[in-house]
Amino acid sequence: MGKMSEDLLTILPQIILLLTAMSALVFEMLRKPLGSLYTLIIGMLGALGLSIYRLGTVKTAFSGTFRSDELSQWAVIILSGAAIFIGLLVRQELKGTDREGTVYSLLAFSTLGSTLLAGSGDMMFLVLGVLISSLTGFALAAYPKTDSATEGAVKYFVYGSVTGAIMLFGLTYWAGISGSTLLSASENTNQPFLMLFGFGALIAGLGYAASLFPFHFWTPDTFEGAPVSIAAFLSVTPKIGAFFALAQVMKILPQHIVDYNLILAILAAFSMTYGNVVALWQNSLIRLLAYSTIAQAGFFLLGIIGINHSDLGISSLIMFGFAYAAMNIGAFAIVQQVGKKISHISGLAYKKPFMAVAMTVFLLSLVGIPPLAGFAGKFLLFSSAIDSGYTWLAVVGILNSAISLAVYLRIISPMFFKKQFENESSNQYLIQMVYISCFILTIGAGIAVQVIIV
Amino acid sequence: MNTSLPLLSLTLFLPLVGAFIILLLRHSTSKVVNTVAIVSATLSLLGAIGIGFGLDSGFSHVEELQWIPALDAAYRLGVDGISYTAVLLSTILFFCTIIYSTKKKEKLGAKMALFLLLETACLGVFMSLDLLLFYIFFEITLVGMYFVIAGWGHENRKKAAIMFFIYTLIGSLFLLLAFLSLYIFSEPRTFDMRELIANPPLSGMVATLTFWALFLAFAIKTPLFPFHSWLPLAHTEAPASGSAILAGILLKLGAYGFIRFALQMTPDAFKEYAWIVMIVAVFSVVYGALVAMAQTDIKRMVAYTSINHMGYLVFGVAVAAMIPSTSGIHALDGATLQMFSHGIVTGLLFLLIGAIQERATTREIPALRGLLKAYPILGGFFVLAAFASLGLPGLAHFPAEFQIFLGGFEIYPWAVAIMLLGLVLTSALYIRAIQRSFMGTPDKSFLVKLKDLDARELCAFIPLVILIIAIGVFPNLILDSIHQSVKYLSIWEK
Amino acid sequence: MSELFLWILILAPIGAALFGYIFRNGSSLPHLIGVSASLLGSLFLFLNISQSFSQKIEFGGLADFPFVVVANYQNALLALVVSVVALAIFIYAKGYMEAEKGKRWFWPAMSLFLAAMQVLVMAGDWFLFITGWELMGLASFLLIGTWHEKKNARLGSVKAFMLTRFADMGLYAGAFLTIITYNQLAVPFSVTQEISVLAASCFLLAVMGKSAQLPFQSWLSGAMAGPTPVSALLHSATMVGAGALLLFKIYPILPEEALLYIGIIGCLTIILTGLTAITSKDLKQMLAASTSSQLGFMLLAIGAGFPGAAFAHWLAHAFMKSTLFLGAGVFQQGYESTQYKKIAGSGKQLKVTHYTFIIAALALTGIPPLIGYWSKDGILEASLISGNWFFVVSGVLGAFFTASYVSIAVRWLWKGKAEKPSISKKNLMLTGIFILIILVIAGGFGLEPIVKKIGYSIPKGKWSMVLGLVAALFGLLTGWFYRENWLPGTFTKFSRENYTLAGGYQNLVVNPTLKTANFFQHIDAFILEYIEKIGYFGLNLSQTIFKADRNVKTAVWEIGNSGIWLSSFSQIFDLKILISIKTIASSIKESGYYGKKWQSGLVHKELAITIISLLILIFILIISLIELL
Repeated sequence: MGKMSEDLLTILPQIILLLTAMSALVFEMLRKPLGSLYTLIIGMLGALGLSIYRLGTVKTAFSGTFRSDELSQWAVIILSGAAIFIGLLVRQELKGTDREGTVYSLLAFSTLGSTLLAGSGDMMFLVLGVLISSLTGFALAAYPKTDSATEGAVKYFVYGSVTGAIMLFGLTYWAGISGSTLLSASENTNQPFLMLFGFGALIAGLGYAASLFPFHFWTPDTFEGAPVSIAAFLSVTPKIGAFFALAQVMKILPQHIVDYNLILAILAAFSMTYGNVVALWQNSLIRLLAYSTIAQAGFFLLGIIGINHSDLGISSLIMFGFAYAAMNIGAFAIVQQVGKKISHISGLAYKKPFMAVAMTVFLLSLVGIPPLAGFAGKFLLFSSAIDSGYTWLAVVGILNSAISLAVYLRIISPMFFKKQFENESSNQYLIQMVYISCFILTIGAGIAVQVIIV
Repeated sequence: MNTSLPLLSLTLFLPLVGAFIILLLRHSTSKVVNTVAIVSATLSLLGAIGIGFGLDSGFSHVEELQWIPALDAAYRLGVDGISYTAVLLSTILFFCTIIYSTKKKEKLGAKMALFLLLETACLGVFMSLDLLLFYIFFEITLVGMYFVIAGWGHENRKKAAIMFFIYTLIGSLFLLLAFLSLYIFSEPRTFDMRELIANPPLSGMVATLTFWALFLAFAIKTPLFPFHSWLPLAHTEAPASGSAILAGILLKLGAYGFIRFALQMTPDAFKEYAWIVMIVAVFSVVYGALVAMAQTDIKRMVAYTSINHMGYLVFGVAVAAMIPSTSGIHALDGATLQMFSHGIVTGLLFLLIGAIQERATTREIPALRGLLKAYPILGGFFVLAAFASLGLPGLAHFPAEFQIFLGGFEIYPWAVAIMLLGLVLTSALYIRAIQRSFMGTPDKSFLVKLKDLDARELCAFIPLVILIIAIGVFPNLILDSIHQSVKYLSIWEK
Repeated sequence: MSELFLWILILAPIGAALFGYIFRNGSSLPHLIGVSASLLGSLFLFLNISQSFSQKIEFGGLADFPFVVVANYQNALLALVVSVVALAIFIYAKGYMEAEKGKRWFWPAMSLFLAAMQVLVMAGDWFLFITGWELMGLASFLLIGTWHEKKNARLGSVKAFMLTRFADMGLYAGAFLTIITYNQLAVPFSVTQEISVLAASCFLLAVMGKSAQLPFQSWLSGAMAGPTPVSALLHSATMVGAGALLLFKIYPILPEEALLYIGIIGCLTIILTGLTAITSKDLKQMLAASTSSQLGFMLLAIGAGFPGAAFAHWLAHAFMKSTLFLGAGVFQQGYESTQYKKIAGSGKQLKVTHYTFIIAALALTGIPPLIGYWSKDGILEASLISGNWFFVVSGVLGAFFTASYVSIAVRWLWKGKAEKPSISKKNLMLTGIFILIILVIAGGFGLEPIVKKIGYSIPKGKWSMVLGLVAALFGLLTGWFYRENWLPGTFTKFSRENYTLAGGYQNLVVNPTLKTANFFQHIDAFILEYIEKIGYFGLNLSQTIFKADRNVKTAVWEIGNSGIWLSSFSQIFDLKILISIKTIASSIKESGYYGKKWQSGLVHKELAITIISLLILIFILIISLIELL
């Protein structure tokens, strides 16, 4: 029993998240959406605080099936923070709609799923995490009940179920080879083909959640259909969860059997290039950002490649995850305020100079311009890739940063140099709060890197 | 070495403080904005002058603060004779440019703030003793310049700005790559430039690749043929003040990089491939001069001459990489002085062209006529600056180019011979422009009725004019501190 | 003390130039003060310095290479001559420029010119030497362009600057080679080691440009577009003189072979530009060509190994030529032209000027006891001593030509009728001329001791005296009776136009350079276009990928849709089946009774049915796959 309680203590943050979700649901039943929001915020803060407190300790729970290490703790920190911001954005966007409270509950559930993913040391946790986070995702995406939202949600669902099934199928092989669902059990296997097959299937499942090329097709439509705040959520939480999970897998997976890194590198190169290149042609802000998240997904892989070869691997993932969450939520928040078309944002600098500056900062951070958080992240990612012998991938990433500049300049340039801002939206102070916080985080994290990399 | 007053940080961040004050006082009058801008630029200039006292051969005024201990990246500042030259140049040129810009009413606050931000970034680049810090400032200059071009430029400004941004960003990304490899292969890993200079960490293939990445980055920035395409476009579209900064200081980032990184951190690879760099540089000299000669837009013409002048500079660095002897020291002395000279001369030229454009509303050489008659002081300054630019002795460029040629003559007499021809070409193009646009009778119907230089413009131009002459006559003013550092560089020890 | 004088003689004109540039009032006063101070400085320096004494002053400079100015006897003498000539010309110019435009421009440039020459004279290191040399180029550019609203003034100034600038690169290269050889910035005085022939050739190129030797002589005639005092200054003690001065400075370290080249260049220039002077139709053009020719004499002397003779001729020529030009300027002021036809007979109206002109002309011819006689005699003797017949022939021919062309000029001025001109401020101009003419008349006696004091000697001999005098007298006669039809017309024209071959510099150098420039401009545009093309290619590529992305998505979506459609279709089908099954069921119910045995719990049979139906399913799947393929 002592063991059990210790295990439960280890996953206490996740339990808090679960309780948060439940209580939010209870408030919804009481028709008190505000209560749900407060629950969400308090619960998330709790989980966040706890994880910050725990930073530096490494533990496993349930005989190694769950890990409370740097990655998973940071996942809780980043994702709970993100959930709070998203909650505020949701409040602003969906205030007064029917079943508002369920959204908060679903946010908490999805965050739970992603944090489970980020700490998984066992195949079952992987499956569980993917399922929780994607199932809640369908519900969130379909929330407005409009045609486009439904279409997007259905796409999300279809892709999700197919890739989920594939993943499950592939993982059964791993379990079959090693005789255990524990990831660490595959240590002594000697079946490269089956291992590879399983790995491919795993990539399919996680790649879908992370909208990695070529599992990304749902992304633009779903983002466009869903409320902007939900799109922001989908672009951040499942993605970080999935990549951290992949990192956990890679950390344990024996590297001598198959060169997984090559697969990841190729995927990374494709994803980066593909996302950026396609984003060049988007006229909708939200679609542009959607494709840009595909490109950013590729960058995450650089860190995963380095996870076994470079001491910078984990730090780079955490740093970039943090930066990515801050800058992406910030950018989406501003999109939520001004509108989904590029034409909506032109001339923003004349009406709301600070908002334009903040948007510029988010976008330049996505490009990786110092001293912003995105630079710190990408810088570490490149370092870890070079350190692992993947210099060519770093070069590809670097060239992609240049292309991505062209992409984001398509937003920056009209903001400052066109004068037709007609969008007279009132000041939405929740959004303001979110993007200003993200602004501070984006700049602050770029300078105070040492807080994250210890 | 460590004075109690963090003089470098003060000098570095004063402009930034000014920028913040301007942003905070967003709705204040242009007078307040101008005052704040000028005061912070002046203080920074004074700081830079103060730094000049107490320089010794190594890095002086070193400041170090922990930043990312896990990576051994820190806030490290320091200057030696080479970087001090650039620091001084930046503060002087920004001071003059800011005075020049005080007139423009349009988006004045934003412009001044941007310029001050740029000043901090430029100073940061030259003061950094940490790769990461260097890179950060390096990139900020890019962003700042993008907004200057796109915000206050001429008709085609957006295209020019985007081209500038993307082109140079590609360069700086390769720089990042090179920095990463320097970092990763250093033992123990560090971003401390002093360490990397004292013990260049790379060898073999990695060193070669890193060198070429550095070369690419700085060749785009400098720029050398064939990586120069962004430059004429950016200059034609940028506002005069922006051009002055761009040509006067931002190009020096590339030059400084060649010295500080390519030469000092990958010396062996540089030595091996110096001949290629040399060929590229010599070709740039001739190419820049010839293409400049074919221009009809006077600003474009001056822009192309930058390629020519930077060619001399890079040649000097290549010579220093090649021969570690007195000749190498001469060449490097000259190259460093050339940074300063080119900064003040070309900065002045671009500001003057701005003044001409305001008055004559065109920059076409065939359309301009008799400027010397119409605006004697303005014309006189331009002629002086043009002669400085073509390398007339007694003016700023000559001592620099003299030493570069002298240093290079020992190993590459033919290259120097070709470059001397380049000097003739430069003379020809400036003389042609002077003859066509400045001499003769002014076209009355064409010139807007504006007076010769006003007090504001005089205040901006006269310091530069004086400096051009002073450096020409007393090169040792600057050269002494340069030489003191150059003499003791670790690259000569091999 | 001498240090102070040294600085005064250099800095006074610089100060005057700066004053003029800054205050821009066009007043001549500061410049006259400047030149006077410079003269006083050089005079006291000259008096203060003994033969053996030479003072080196080091200051500032490049790292490890301080600048050096040298105050020795030779330099002080040269500075003195320069400032005397300059003072005379400045005084003259005050009168000359009184009614002319462009004073604000003219005066600072004059002072700058003087300052540059003084720097050059006193320079003890290559850096300062080049500085003086090039600043003089700048000043000459400015001075020739004084009246820049006139096209020929603009073109003349550009030509002068560019030609000399090109040749100056020889000075750079030569200086670099010398600096590297001796590892010092200072100009070496006398050393055991000689510089290479290459270095000497480089220097020679510079000399040819500055001293207007073949084939660079044409810039001098273009320079006539400037005010006449400018020409006087340019052609006497400064600018062209600087070339010869360079040779004096480097003479001790010149290799033997180089002397021959120098001599040959000098000889060719003597003859060809002498002919140009003879065929010239313009007084100033004649004087310009004559300058080249006289400088050729100096080169000849150096080539023959007698720098003393060359030095003497340098001094003599400075006085003579400036006198001649100043005279020409008076005629120009009187008749608005210097073409022989327009000023024919004007000598009778401007008698004083004409007499001084004749005296200077005779001096140039080499008539004793005028100053030119002493130096020219020395040069002829030098050529005889050298034993090179080409030198001798050229020298004698040159003396003959000299006599001829001055004779032609004097005849034009004498013969014919001219109106009485009105010249304001003639007195000032004449004052300038008087200062110089005294030196032309009396200076000759001081030449030899002075040259000796420097350490050179002027050779003397009977034969040379005879040859020189005969050539001079014969030449004077020839010139007096010379008619244009004596020489073939085409040659006259060719010679008069400075032997312009194939369109001259415009066609040979300028146009090809501009063409090359345009070609490179095209390359540049091409590169830019190419880069943009890469950009557009990338954009197009990205669009293709974008379309592919959309298509894949649509395809997947359509597959999904068709699935839904299929499912709805099958739902209907299902219903029907259900109904039919119901009917079947009921019928089965009925028949169930009969079939009890069939449905008997025999598992193996049921399994077989399942497997068979599965096989059928797989079969269908395969078929559909084949169809798909």
